[in-house]
Amino acid sequence: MKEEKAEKAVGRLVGWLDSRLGLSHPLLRPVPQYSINPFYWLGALTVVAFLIQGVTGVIMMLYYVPDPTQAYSSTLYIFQNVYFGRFLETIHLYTAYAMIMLAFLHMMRGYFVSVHKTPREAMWVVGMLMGFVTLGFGFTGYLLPWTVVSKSGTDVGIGMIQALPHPVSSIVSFLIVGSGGDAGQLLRFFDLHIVILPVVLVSLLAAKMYMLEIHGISPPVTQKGMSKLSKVFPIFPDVTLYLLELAALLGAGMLIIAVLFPINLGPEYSPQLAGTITAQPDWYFLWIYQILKISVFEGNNLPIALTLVTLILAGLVVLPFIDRNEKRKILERPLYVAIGAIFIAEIAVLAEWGLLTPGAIIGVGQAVLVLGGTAALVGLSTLGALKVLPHRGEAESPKASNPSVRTAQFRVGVAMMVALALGALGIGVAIDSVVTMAMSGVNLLELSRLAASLFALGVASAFSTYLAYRMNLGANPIRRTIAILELWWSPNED
Amino acid sequence: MRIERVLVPILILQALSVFLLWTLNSVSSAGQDVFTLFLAVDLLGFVLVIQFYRSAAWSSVQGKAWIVALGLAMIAILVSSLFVS
Repeated sequence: MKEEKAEKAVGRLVGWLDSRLGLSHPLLRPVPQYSINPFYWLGALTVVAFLIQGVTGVIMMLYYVPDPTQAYSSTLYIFQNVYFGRFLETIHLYTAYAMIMLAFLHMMRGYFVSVHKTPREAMWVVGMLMGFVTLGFGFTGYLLPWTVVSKSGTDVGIGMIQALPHPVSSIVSFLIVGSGGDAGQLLRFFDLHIVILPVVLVSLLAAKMYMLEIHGISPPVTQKGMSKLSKVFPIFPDVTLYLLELAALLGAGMLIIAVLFPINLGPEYSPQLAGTITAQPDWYFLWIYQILKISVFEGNNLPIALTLVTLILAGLVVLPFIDRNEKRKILERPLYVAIGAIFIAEIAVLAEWGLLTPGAIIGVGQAVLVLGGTAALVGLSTLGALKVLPHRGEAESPKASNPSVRTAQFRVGVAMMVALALGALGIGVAIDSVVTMAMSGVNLLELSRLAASLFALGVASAFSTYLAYRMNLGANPIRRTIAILELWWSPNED
Repeated sequence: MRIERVLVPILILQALSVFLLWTLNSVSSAGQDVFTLFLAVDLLGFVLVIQFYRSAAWSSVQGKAWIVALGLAMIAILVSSLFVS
């Protein structure tokens, strides 16, 4: 009896809401079952992080004064005197970090599963622009507390912008720096942060949602997903609740991180104090900062580095017009998947390296070794893994579903990865030896390193070719040769 | 088990706890940390509610391990709030 009453009460509440708000006739289309997976909702979670920042930011805006003489003291006031002030500051910062990270993951996931392909090219471009606006939020918000670290770090970023080729640097400087000194700069950053960028982001979001409604969620790239194509869930209440569940998990994670790693406001900015620290941008710009620190880009060559970075970013924007192949599955696009893996690895390595070496100039040889070695290691490992991984069709065959066959495949796959890693290491050391000899002359030590690395590369190549043969992969002439060698090696086996 | 028997008490408890959160000393560092942790517990409770709902409405068995892990996480966070100073 009680249960029925409770059920009726809930039903009445839902019915009342539905009749007033029209929730059962939503604007958004139903969502297919295959997309009930957190990876499909990274973009939505980015928006959730943006909303949390909006709420916390509006409350802080009531106390913050965008003037160099009061910016720091008003921020400190929020920390020390405002109810839940430290909580607001901490959550605002960590959700900003989460927003940037989620946007990056959303982009890379989209890249790997080919969401940028026909007919969603424009959605990808709009999404990339949203990513740049998100970085703009980080850049403009970083300055606002007016601490010595935030002001100096922002100055590094402004220095980068001003080193761009003339028309671009002038326009961007006019837009974000102005000519009003520190006061004008802070006010402009504040306006950008709380008005212009939110308006731009919301407009882009509306455009992207509109296109999403037209094209729908991108189709699945796995057999498992294809089997769930027919079933759909309505936006309300099912998908809304699912999204709220993910949002609550994100929120809980942010809150726990906020307690575990509380932030402290550093000292206030002053030109004297700024001279005593090594300025660095925030973590999401460290990869660019590290590229600019490579010695070959110092001085007059800085615009070359900035143009390189701009080209990388522009390449991401126009990706749908470069990667026009209709194949969408990861195993069918090994080159693009390897490039994506290299991109992630290089960003991570550059950011970590930049964090560890503030202000230090990086030698060309060192950069070539680290970046080249990373690219070779990750690229070859990814290509090897894609080659070794069973294709979908094979995975479902009786042979591959046999546990002993799968165990053997796994072992050979691991061995292949080790071989490829050894090969990549050989390539990296060989590159470093060549660069070192090019810069400081030929010597016995470097020649020995070169010979050893080439030997390691040869061993790795031979071993991985043999493993490829064991996996029934590779070209026929190689397989025939290895088969002959194998017979020669163990003539009694037959 | 009827889903309403679980949902309604949890939602009432959540509403009550959110109300009680506002009685904490919201200026001190420790008070804000406790508030933050309790809010995290509330959010995890909300996740739990949706898990129960999905189990019933979608006719799919949500992972029991996941529900147990959420419950344990809530208890662990509540206990850890005792040590915030």
